[in-house]
Amino acid sequence: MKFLWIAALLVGLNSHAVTPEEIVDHIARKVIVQDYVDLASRAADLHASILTLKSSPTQENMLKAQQAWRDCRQPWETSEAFLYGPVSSLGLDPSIDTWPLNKIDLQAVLASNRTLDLDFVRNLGANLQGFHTVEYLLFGEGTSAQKKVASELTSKELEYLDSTSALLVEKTGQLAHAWTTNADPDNPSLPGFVEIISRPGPNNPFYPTTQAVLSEYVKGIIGILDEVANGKIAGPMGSTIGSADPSLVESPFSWNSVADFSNNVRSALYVYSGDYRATPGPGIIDVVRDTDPELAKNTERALRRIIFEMSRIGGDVEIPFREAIVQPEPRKKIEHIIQLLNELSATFTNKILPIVEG
Amino acid sequence: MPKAFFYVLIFAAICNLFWSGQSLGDDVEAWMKASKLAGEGTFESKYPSATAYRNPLSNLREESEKKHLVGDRLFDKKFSDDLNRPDYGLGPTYNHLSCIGCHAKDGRGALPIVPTTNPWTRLGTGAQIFLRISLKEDLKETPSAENNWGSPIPVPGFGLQLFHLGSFKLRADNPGSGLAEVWMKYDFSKFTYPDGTQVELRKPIFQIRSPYDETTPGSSRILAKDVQTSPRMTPPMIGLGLIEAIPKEDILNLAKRDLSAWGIHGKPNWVIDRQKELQKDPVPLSLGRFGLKANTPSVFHQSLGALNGDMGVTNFAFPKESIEGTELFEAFKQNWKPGIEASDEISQALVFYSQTLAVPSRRNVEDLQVLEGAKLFQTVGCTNCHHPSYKTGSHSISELSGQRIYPYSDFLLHDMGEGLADGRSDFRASGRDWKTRALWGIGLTKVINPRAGFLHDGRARTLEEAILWHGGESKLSRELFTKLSKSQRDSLISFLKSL
Repeated sequence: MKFLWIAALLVGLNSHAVTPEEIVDHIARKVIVQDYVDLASRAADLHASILTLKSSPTQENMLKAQQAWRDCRQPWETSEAFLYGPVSSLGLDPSIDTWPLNKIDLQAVLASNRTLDLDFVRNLGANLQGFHTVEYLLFGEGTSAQKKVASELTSKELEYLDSTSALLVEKTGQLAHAWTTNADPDNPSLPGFVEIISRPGPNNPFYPTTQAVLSEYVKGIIGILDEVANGKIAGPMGSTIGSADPSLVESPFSWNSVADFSNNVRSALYVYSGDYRATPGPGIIDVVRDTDPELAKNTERALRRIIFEMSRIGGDVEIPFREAIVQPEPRKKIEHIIQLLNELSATFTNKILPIVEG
Repeated sequence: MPKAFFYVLIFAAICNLFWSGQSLGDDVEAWMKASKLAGEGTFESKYPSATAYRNPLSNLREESEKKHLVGDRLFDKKFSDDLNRPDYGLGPTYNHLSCIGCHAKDGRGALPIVPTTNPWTRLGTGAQIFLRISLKEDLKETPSAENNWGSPIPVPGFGLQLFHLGSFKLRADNPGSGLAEVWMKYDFSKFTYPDGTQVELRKPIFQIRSPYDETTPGSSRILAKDVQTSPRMTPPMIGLGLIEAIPKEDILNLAKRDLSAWGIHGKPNWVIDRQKELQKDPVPLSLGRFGLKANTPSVFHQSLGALNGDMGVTNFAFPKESIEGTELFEAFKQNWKPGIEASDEISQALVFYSQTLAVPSRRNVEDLQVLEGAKLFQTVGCTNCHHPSYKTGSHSISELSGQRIYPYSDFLLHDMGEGLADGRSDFRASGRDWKTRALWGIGLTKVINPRAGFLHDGRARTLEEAILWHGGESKLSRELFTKLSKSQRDSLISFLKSL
């Protein structure tokens, strides 16, 4: 009897029609904020693993630090469907993720006899800070022929890794704080940006209605699909194999480029579905479903399909993206992915945006 | 102006305010309700978002839109100062790595974060403001080739812009720094309305530290008394091509209006036109339309000058490194690769992109409070300088031609009073003059960048603060604004937020 009662309650809960306000709130708190909190936490883990590596530069610790970099990179890339708010207004992006890095100057920094502490790194150019500087120091050139091992690490590199990852902790921490606690350090009375975006209304300085926030969410998705297709992928690809430029590919040293792209699409999927890791939706899909259930379902499928297609660029062989773009067969697959991304972007623009805006 | 007449004018204006507060009447002018601020090119969105400034003109043809999108990618591109890279070109001194770095989402920039205890804070890699610099000089009433057409005089060894960032090897004494470090803090003050309401105002003040040529404290040329500095906050990028398409005569005719009763006498700036220089025109001057002192004539000049200046990327229009000729550059040369760093295709695409960004449509144009605000905007005299509307003339980009647009600016120079004065002249602009800023899209400023600041140095956090800083020729309008009731002030602000 008790079981039946619980089952009935669950059915009742499931039949509760989710409101747009709940969707807005869920995406803000359970997707966006959680992603930024994860980013800050993983940046701290990365710094901790680098400190361990610094004190004990074994191959095992090297591999752990490399994995910590990949783990930290993930929530950063899955944040790129929501580039509104503090990440832009606080000017944090250059210090976190400037590409390309300046390898010549990085070598000069390492060759100098300076103390490479946090303040020293903070005052360097943005192309000597952030994810890709840490990546290069941890992974080296990352070519098939040369994968960096712990014995190659110099004390200067370890010193620099310590400081630049500490700076990453500082910046990602500021970002999480701005979303959760105070959106603008100039105005301590302001709440976290999550309270601003999740509570639209006539007195909200940025979002007058729930539809305005939903529109922001969808435009964020459109923005990242376009950026991945026509910037991050098409830029290095060039129009022909002869005009491909591997030096433009991001995250080349760790072979993480395709994972970056996949995580960008996953970022769109998180907002669309409202599912973030183990936490289920609601998401934009629930708004779409009310109007066009087929469209709702097909769009989610299309996002998942792109992620799958990205995992198959090299077929059964793992090849870094910078090598894939100069090989005929992988190029065909990549061109197809660009097409899928552009088609999906058009779907969000022409079909889904009008639905969420009402 | 006779004092008695001044009071009569204030009395008449105040009577008008009370009247206009009671009824909207029939005299609602077309601009008050105009929604498509950029004609057929207006970007229409039901709910403008953080990307509201990032759209091509709606009337662009397919080929033009493709060109725009090429420029869009380049606008986001981070240039490198690594000699071995194909995207080499950054530096050796610069203020940012990319166009989008300062023009965040193509909108206004924000001042750096200063901790609440207000200590001096160093401008870093994410700063969206820089200092213009030049030597003190008298305004040139007769520009000529001999006085370089009245252009500002560069500071020896520094030039016309203070680059706070630099390549690692540029300064052994201060790696990562450019010509000097720039530090900032705020001066705070309070304004009290006649009804007792108080508003906190803030003004950024700047300090130059650790200049590269300093041998003993204070010995640097940049710290000499004859050096003038002026902060420049990143302006929004929207509608620039349409401003370029406004017939010159329409702007010059606005300068001929008799607004002496308001104490207003706008004047055009005549400035060096790089395109005319390249064409070997013996008098390379054009009407200034862009820049905060109307000190550049075209999107071409403004964009490629910024590419060269703000990022240090040489291009066919500005082929010399911005610090060429300085001792600092001579010492750095071995780490530098000569040649034009941005290809002509890149340069042209950036110009085209900058010419073809759309202005978002207005919101709430039928709202009664907004309409009342529009009328008050006119009554207190804002429209004297923030001239609402034009019809564009012919432009080489045909989509920009023949459009009814509403930028809300006369594009003329006005004395804006001591509170806003920077003390630095620029062609015919004095140290108290600023060009009237276009207001289209201004209501979305904070949606695009929640920390964005208004006015030339980003000091104003709100539109109200920006109005309260108005002085000089706009003093009477500001006084009339302050005499409005709270609800009327709110209506006027509502109108601005609808733009």
